[in-house]
Amino acid sequence: MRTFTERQALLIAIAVSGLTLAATFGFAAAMRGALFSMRLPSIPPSAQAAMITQNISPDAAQGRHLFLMNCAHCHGDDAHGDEGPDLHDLHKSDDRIHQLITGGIKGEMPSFAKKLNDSDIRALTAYLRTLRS
Amino acid sequence: MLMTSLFWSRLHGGATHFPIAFMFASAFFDALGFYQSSGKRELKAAGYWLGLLSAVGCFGAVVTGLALSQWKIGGTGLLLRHHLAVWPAFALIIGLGTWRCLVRNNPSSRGFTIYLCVVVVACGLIGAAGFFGGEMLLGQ
Repeated sequence: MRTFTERQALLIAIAVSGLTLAATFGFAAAMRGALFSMRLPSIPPSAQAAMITQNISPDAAQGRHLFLMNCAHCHGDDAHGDEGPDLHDLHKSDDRIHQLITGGIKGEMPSFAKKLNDSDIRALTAYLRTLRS
Repeated sequence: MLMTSLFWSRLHGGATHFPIAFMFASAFFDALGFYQSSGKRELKAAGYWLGLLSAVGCFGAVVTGLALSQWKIGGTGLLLRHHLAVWPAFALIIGLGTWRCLVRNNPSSRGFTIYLCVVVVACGLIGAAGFFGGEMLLGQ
């Protein structure tokens, strides 16, 4: 088998890792495109933009930040559901929401008891109350 | 959906820990082989094969992770932080595996020192990616 000098090996290694990363990103983009082409859009982008720019209280704004940090990767950036369910128009009491966030749902949603304190959950709930479809 | 997020979550959890363990063990054996006077060859061979296994294994981890995140390469919050650590780590592991495979058992002392330094950076990134991934799945 041919042996390479360290410099040659370095150049090949950079090319291989760059190509691998580019191929992975391309594959992911293609898969994501295929995945979303199979779904009907739930809300037009203009309506989503309108919801984002609506006036919300400071508490809800803090809740939105917490939502994007902790919840968006499962419930979607717009809270319309991704892996987790749509959180618009929730028919649950504040106490029940608090209980779900702190306790989690076995096998479906982790517990955030050690991560979010009561005021965080209040802010998060305030944000969830602003979500109307 | 036929394959739920719970399915991918479990598969990703299983698939990620192999390349992580292989990479850390490879760094350990390589470092030991570099500083030890006896058993140098065997320790470097262990580091070499574990590094290659890690490079091969990380494809499974990446594919299951992408499927779990619904093929997002970015995201927001913890997912974004996870990805910001994952992608450079993935590129480094592939690059390190390729370099090691091509150079085989003939790296110079200087080359191998630089290699070890990059391995430490890769391990740090893997650790950060694992931390943010665990924060997402376990929530605390």
